Amino acid sequence: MTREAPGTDSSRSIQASRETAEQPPSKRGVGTATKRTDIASKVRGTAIYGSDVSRPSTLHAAVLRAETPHGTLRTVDTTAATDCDGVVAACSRSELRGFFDDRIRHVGDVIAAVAATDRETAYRALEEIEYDVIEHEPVFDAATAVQAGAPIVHENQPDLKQHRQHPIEVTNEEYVNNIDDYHAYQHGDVDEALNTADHVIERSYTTPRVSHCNLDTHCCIASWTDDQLHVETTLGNITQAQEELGDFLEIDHDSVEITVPPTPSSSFGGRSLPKFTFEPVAASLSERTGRPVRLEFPRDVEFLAGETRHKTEWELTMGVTDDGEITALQTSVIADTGGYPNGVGHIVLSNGRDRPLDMYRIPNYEYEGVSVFTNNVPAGEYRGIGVTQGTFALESHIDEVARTVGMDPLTFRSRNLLEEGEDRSNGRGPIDTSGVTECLERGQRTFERITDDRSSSSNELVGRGVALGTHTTGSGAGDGRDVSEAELTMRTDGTVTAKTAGVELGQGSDTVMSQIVAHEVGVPPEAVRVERFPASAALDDSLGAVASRSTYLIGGAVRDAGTQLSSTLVDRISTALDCSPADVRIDDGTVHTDRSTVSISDLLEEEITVVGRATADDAPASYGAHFAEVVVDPGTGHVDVRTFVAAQDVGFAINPKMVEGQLEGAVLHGVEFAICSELRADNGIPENSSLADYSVASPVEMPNQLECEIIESAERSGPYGAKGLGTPSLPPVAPAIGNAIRDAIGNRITNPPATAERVFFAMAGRDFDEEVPVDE
Amino acid sequence: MTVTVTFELDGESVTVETRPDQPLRELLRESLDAKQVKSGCESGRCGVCTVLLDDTVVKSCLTPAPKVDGRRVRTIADIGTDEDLHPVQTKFVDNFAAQCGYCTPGFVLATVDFLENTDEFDREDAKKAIKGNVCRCTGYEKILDAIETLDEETDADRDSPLGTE
Ligand code: FES
Ligand code: FES
Repeated sequence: MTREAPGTDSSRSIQASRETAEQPPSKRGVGTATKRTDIASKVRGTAIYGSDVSRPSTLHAAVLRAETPHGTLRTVDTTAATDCDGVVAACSRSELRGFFDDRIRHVGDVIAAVAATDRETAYRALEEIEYDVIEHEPVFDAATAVQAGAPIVHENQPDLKQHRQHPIEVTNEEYVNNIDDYHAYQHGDVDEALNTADHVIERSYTTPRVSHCNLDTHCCIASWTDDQLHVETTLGNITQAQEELGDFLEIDHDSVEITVPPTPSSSFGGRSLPKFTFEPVAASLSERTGRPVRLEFPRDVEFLAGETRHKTEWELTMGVTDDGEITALQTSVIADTGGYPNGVGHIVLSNGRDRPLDMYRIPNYEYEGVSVFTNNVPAGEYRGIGVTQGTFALESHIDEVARTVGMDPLTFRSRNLLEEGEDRSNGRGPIDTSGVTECLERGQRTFERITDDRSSSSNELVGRGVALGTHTTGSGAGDGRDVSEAELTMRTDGTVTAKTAGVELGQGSDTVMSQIVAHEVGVPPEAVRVERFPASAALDDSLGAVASRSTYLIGGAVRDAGTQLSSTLVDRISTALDCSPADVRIDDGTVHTDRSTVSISDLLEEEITVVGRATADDAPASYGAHFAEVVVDPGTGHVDVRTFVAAQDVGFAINPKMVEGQLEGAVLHGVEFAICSELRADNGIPENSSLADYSVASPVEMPNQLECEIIESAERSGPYGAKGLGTPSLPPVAPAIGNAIRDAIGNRITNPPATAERVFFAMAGRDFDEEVPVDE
Repeated sequence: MTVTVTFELDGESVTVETRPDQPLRELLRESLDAKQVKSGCESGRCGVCTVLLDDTVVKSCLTPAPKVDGRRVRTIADIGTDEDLHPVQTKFVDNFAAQCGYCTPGFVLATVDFLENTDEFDREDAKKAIKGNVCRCTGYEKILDAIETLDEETDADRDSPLGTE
C-alpha cells in the first residue's frame, strides 16, 4: 500500500510501502508527522544551549595554543600571568591533570591555560606567559609519516586511554612509525582473481579534512565537589565520555558526572566524545581554583582542536568479468589521525573494511588500512566515520569500472548487489532487510521524471550520476553487547515522563520517543515529557546518542516500556471500571469502553512506573541510492548541483517529516564534501580556520531541486521496523555528485572537493593540485 | 575607555557601559544577558547573532555597540509570544524548519525583515534572502518551505508584516 504523509505537498510526496508495519491506533503516534515537541522554544529563542549557560562564581578559561606543529616545551613560565589582576590560576601544560607530556604535536595543542574572573582578562593574561619550545621536524603527510625514518609524533599505539584500544599486528613491512591503528583482512584469493579477471581497474582517491562547523561552539563548565568532577557540556555519548574522561584524568569513572545543557546543540559526531584540549583543561583549572571554570572554543579553535573528519587516501583495484561481475577487490587506505589518538581511527578502518561487503558480492577481497599520527590537527568522529570517505572511493571506482566494461553504472551495480537473505562474503551472516533495490528503482523513476524534460544550453555541460551507500545501525556487530533501558512513569494526571539515555541533538529523538509512548499507551504526544536519566540512575545504556542508534535501540527500549505501561494501565482501568481489559480502548488520553468515556486522570489513583529494555542483537544495514544532476560552467569550472534525489531505506519512518529533514541535512553535508569544503593547511597551520574563509554550503550550493524518497523495508529487529538514518544517508551523496561531474566533463576529480579550479583543470585533462595530466 | 549608550531593547529603554570596539553581540549577551542572541563566529558569516536595528537586519557581531545609541534594537524575544507566535514562527513550526534550533532566531529575524521589504517573491528570492545565515542541520529545505508558504498567507496582511506588535 502507499500513502501520503500528512502535511506533505504533492511535489514532495513520500510514498511508503508498509505492508508489514502496524497501523497506529493514535492519529499522532508513530508514522505521522507529529510536530516537534521542542519547537516552540526554538522559534522563540528561549532555548538555552551550552554556550548560553552561566553558573554563579564561574571563572573563565583561556588556553595558550601552539603556533608551531611539532616541538618540545622546555620551559613554560606562568608567573607574570598569575600576577595579573583578575587571574585566579595559570597552569602550564605539565601542570594539567591527565596525560599531558612536554610535547607539542599540532598547531592548536595546549601550552598553558589561565582561569580569570572574566574572559577578556584570561585572554590578556595569555600574553604574559613565556615559553621556550625546541622545534622538531614535523610530518604532515600520513603516507610519509608511517614509513621508517619519519619524525615520531607518537610511539605506535600509545595508551592515552582512548576507547577501542586493541592489540594489533602490523604485517606490512613498510608501516613502521606513527601507527594509530591497523587492520588487515582477506577472503578468497585476490591475486589469482585479479590475474584471471577480464578487466582490472586500479585507481587512487583522496578525501579532504573537513569540519562539522556546528554553530554553537564547544563550551563546557567544569566543577568539583570534593572528589567528584561535574562537567556540563553537549555530549552525545555520555556513558563512554565519563569513562574516558575518568581514565584520562586518572580518577574513577564514578567520579565523573557529565550533564548536558537544557538544549543540546547539533553534533554530527563532533560532540560524541571528550576532546583532549577541552574538558581536561577546564577540569584541571577548576580543581586548581576550587571554582567552576567555563571554557569555550573560539571559532578558529573549532578547526584546530574540535576534531575533523579523517583525511584519507585510498587505492582500489577491482577485477571484473566482461559481463560486469565483480570478481575481486583490493583496497588499501591510509587515514590521517593528526596529533592525538581517540579510538576513532579504529572505526574509520573497520567501516572502510566492512561496508563494501554489506552492499556487493565480492568473492575475493583483500583490505589493508592504517591510521597514522601526523602533526596535523586531530581528526575524530564526523557523521559516517570512515564510511563517508570509503563510499566516495568505492562508488567513484565502481562508476569507472562500469564505464570500462561498457555497462550502464546502474545496471552494473544491480548485477553485483547482495540481495535480502544472501550471505555476506565475509561470512558475517545474511543481509536482513535491504530495500536497496527499491531505492534504486524508485529513486531512478523520480530522477528521470524530473530531469527528462530539461534542455540544456550549448554552453553548459550537464552530467548525471548515481551512487549507493550503506551503513549499519548502532555501534557494533549486533552481538547483543549494546543495550539501552528506558523508564516510563505515568502520573495520576495522565501525563508520562520518559527517562532515556537519548540526547536531543536536533535530530528529533525526544519527539520520536514521545510518539512511541503516545502510540503504545494512547496518550497525546504532548502529554509525554522526555528526560535524560542521570548517570547515577540504575538504568543501563552503553552509548547514548551516537551511531544512529537513538530511534533503533533507545526507541526499542521505550517501546518495550510502553507496552508494559499500556498493559498495566489497561489492567488498572478494567479493575476500576469492572470490565474486561479487552473492552478498554485508550486514545488521546481518553478511556473508551462500551459503557463510558472518561479521561485517564479520572481513573488512575497511583502512578505507574515501568522499565523497558532493548538489546542490539542485530546491526541492520540501511541503504540509500542517490542521484545527482550537475551543470558545469565550461568557462570557470563552477559546478551547480541542479537536481538531487535521495532514495533512502529507513526501515520505517516514525516521523516522515523529520526523516525528510535528516535526509536533507545529509544532502547538505554531502554537497559540501563533494564541492565546497576543505580545511587547507600550510605546514600544519590551517589556512581557512574561520567561517568566512572555510566554505560551508549555503542555500545556493544546495540542489535547485531536491527530492527525498523514503523507502520502508520494515526491519524485523527495529521498533515498528525502523532502522538507522542519520549516518547511512550521508555516504552516497558526494559520490553521486562526483559521478555526475565525471559524466559532465569526461574526467574524474579523485580528490574532492571539486572546486571550480580543480574542475576547470580537469576539463583540460590537467590536475590542478599536481599540475600533471590526469590519466584517463 | 568606556562609553555609555542608551537604546531601546525589545521595547525597553536600557543604559549600559560599553567600549568603542565592543561588538553589539557581546554587549547584548554579556552585559544584558540577552542569550537569545546567539554567537557562532567572529566573521559575520553565520547569522546566528542577527538582530533588527531600527527594523533592519544586522549581524550584531559586526555592529559596534556604540552605534546603537539612541536607536531601537529588536531581538527574537520581541517577535511573537509563547501564546501568540508571529506568523513567521508559526510557519517555521508547521514546516519543521528547526532541528537543533541554534540558527533559528537568526532565520526568523531575517525572514521577518525580508517579508517587510518584499512584495512578491519565489523560492529563489527566498534563497537569496537567507544566504547570509548558515544552518548545519536542515539543508535549508524546510526553512525555504516555511518562507514560501508565507508568500501565500501574508499577502492578505501585507501591510503589517511584523504581525503581532
Ligand atoms: S556570530 Fe555574527 S554572523 Fe556569526
Ligand atoms: S537547525 Fe541546527 S543549525 Fe539550523
